Amino acid sequence: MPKFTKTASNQFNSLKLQTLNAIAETERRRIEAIAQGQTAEAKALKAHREALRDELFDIADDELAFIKSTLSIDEAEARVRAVAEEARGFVKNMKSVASTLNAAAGFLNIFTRLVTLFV
Amino acid sequence: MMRVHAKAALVLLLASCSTPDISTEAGLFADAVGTVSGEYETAVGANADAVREAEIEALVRDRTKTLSLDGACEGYAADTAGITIADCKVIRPELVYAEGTAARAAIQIGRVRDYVEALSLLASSQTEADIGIAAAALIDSVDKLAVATTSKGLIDFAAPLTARKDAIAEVLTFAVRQQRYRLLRKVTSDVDLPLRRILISLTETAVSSGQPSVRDSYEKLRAAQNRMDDTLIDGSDAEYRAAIKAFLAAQEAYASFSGQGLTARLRLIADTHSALAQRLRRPASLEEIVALLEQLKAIQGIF
Repeated sequence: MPKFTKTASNQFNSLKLQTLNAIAETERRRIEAIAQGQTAEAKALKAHREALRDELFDIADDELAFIKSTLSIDEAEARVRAVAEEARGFVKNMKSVASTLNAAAGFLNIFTRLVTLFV
Repeated sequence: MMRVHAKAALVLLLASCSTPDISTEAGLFADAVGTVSGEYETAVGANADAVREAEIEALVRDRTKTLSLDGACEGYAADTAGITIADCKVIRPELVYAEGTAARAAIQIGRVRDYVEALSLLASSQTEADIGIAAAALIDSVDKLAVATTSKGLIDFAAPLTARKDAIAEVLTFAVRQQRYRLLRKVTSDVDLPLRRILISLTETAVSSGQPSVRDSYEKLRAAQNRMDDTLIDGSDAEYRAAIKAFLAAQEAYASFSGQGLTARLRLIADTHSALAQRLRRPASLEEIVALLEQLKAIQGIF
């Protein structure tokens, strides 16, 4: 099963960016063609722009399919649950440390009062 | 020279282990996910199951038509000239793909909500602040006890602690903060793909239950733009005017969907989480390094 690595993610992003840039460039050329009265060229560039947009959707579809093939929904749910538990566990532990320190301080304060009263 | 290198290394080390405070963003993110998940349950909820049941019933009802050939194949069947089997297309009704039922979607959205709430909790700086305050309180208590008992041993023990109380609290706070940030980085990085995976599943369930997809919404805008482009060259003034108006309306609808549409917002959740993970991964800014150096100055006293 393929791994959805950072490299794979970057590749998809890079492809999408390239296609978006190509769409922008095609649109720029189409507007130029219209301005110069080259209607046939403008129509051809519009068709090219639409083909590039379809390509963009294809890349997005491939990315979705890739993500789905990399990780099952059950695995995804299990990982998200485990990570949430890990985060909560850390906060709980730290609260417990703070609480222990506070309890020790409270105990010493009571002890100090007793000392003040009886010594 | 060695000292300069050591200081430079220290700055780099601090820069590499420092991260921005994302507690505000994480809190807002948790609120946003809470709102979307509530809307999701209302909008998709039972409807997902109802749609799925209707689809199953339609397949059962139309079972004899489950496999058929489209119009072009009528000619092939009649053996008329020019039609080959390659022109035939099999028509096969398909279930709209969704990985689960409404009940499963409710569990999934619950997982997402639970995770972002845990993330918000972890991102809160209250954790280390509580420890710093508690440590300072403990040192105060030791000091009071030393004064009360007038024990020389206890006074000798408490004096340096009390003198450096703030610095000790700072060290503890700093240590916990660093540990918390490391965990934040790990958590957001580990969960980015699984979260996106769950959101894909939730989106599919939403679309299968009748919610418009981001793509549908974009295709409408695209069609309106194409009409406008075509009429610019070939259309009359009236046609071009109408196409411009239709495009503007489609643009407004798309903008509205991007901000309010349920499936668009599910995608925004995935993108926002990726941005948070990215923010925690990137090198610290100059301001963050300066803040850490200030912190370092505050804790230097105890070494």
